[in-house]
Amino acid sequence: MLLKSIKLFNFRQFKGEQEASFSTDIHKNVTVIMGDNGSGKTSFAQAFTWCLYGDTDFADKSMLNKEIENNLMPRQQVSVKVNLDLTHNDIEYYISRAQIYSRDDYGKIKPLSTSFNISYKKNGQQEFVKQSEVESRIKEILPKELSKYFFFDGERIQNFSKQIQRGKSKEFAQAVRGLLGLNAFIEAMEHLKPTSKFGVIGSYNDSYDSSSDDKIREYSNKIQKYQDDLDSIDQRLLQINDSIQIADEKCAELSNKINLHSEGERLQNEKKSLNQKIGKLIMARNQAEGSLLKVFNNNPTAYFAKSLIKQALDTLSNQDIRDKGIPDIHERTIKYLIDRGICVCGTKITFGNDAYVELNKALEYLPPKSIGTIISQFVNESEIRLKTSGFLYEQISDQYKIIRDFESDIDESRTDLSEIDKKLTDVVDVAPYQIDLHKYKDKIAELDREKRDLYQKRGAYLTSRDRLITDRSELTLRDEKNRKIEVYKAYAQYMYDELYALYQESEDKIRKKLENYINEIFRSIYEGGISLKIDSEYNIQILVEDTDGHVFDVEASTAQSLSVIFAFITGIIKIARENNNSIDDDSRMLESEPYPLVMDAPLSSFDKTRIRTICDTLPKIAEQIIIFIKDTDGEIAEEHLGQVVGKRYFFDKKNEFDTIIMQR
Amino acid sequence: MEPNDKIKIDKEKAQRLLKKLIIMERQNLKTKMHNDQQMVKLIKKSIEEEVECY
Repeated sequence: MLLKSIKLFNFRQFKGEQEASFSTDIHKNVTVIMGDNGSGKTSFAQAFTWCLYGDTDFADKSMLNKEIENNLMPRQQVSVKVNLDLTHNDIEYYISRAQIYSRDDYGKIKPLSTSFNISYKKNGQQEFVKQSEVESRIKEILPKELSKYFFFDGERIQNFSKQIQRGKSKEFAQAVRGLLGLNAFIEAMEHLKPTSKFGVIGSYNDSYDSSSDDKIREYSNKIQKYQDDLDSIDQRLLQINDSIQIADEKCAELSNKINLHSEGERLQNEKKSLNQKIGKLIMARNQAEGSLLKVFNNNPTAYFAKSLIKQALDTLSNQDIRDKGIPDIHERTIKYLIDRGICVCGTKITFGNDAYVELNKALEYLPPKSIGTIISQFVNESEIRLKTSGFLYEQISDQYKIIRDFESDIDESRTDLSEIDKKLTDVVDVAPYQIDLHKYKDKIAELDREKRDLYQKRGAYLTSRDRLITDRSELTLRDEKNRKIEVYKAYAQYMYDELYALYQESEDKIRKKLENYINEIFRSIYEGGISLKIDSEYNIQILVEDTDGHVFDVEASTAQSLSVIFAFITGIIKIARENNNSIDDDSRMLESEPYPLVMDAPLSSFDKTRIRTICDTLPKIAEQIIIFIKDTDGEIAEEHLGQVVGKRYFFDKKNEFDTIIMQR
Repeated sequence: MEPNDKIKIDKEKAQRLLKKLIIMERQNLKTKMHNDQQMVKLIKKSIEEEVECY
């Protein structure tokens, strides 16, 4: 498949009709589309997927241009259309998908009818693929299972990571086999298939002439009966294998949930012991608080007074307060002497004389004005009190430190507890999982028993059928006409067996070749001790070798995933190209189609060195490349891809709802 | 089913048939000219012609 052009009509940002054609020149096989963020690169890339499969990765499933949508009147209809022109198997196809939208009476936009048509040119005439065959024709052109590899989005690659490694469908493996050129083998085997009534061998079995001998008819009927039974057994065995696979997956899923619970159980135990620890710590803290209060309650006034006394003594020690009073003499004594007019020493006291003045000075130091005595008494008393309160502060401080230590332990344990609680919110009761797990295990055991029985039965039927075939052959060989049928059938059987062996061998060989190419390409992009392995279903394992030479299966990072996808798809394209260009007989048996790579922002996840490698490698391997690039990656891409770019486009973003595709 | 051991297969003829078959299938994959039943008939015809040809 090579893409020739795409035409968009009202598709998301692309208002009206807009078109781009892609380079199919073998020397300049790259088409570069540049645009700012939000200019519609992803929309444009998704237009291919929408046209081919009617689906996109967008959460908003309406493809209608928002400006057109906003201006749509009630009951007015408008269509979104994407036309794709491509060549596949030397046939030029025109694929068209249209969706009509309308606004209802409540103002809501509703999708109405969809149309999907495929036409192609045959002998110069345009013919349409029947509607009943359009899906299968698309599947043949590019199966949806594989499309995301050919139309891939570098910015949404994260979701892709796991899918690369496991969980691919049978259809995926089948699609890869087809791309690798094995389709003709598969078709031929299907047409010869001995177990099919409608295949070549089956139809020979039906063409024996039994008029010469009734036994031939009888044997043929019995053989057919055995064959039908064998077909049913094979059918049932397939169903059983599918059921076992599903049950195995369920068991693994349930076991994981139960393991998660065992983590929950551990967390619950940890929570319990933490709660016990916190309880003990709180008790110890309460005891310590009790002891502190006890010390405090023994002399509570001393606790507060001690500091005040100390402060008072400090203040008093800085003051000059000497006792200048006369012991046992009071103000009243002096006033009495002044009133009497004669001192105790006989000196006359008159107003203003020396005795009068001296006695009045003494009044300053006598009670009630004099406090010197009281202070002396206070100091003495205070010093006694300080001594008697002893180590009260130290005792209280020690107790307080113990309490603080307990508080800190309690806080720490509570933080641990809240962490555990957070983890426990994700853990649920898994008793029902245990019950389901047992059910699934019982189911697997039951299916295994049935499978064993069916294999035994199958063996017996095969023996009986083959014996009858031999017996019938004895009879048919006696008749010339039947003998000929026997000969043709023998050739058909021989061809089938040869083809089957050749198919197995070719597939094995081509898968190994693909693995080598993928590793080769991967290593050119992503250096380091990583290797890739492909299993029979084309799942890719990413293996990392440690320094001791042990190999581990790992989950890919974004850059690794991208590199694996590049390597995988370019590996397939490389083989397809080799098959087409090969001249030796073996490879000529395999024929495959060239495929394009449509890459949306593939360079965003890589550093400059890898961008250079990718830009150098891809155009040499892939037949056609359409690459969407951000302005910021533009220079690097232009530098490395410049020589091989056949067409260049630029998305001119007018506003959020309108982008114009401009050719550069 | 095993080929009948009383019938001798000319391996050269069978190999020629095999290549012809793959070419037919490849061609039909491209052109979609024949459906499955038509292909079965064509294969039978090829076998019969090749076997009858001495």
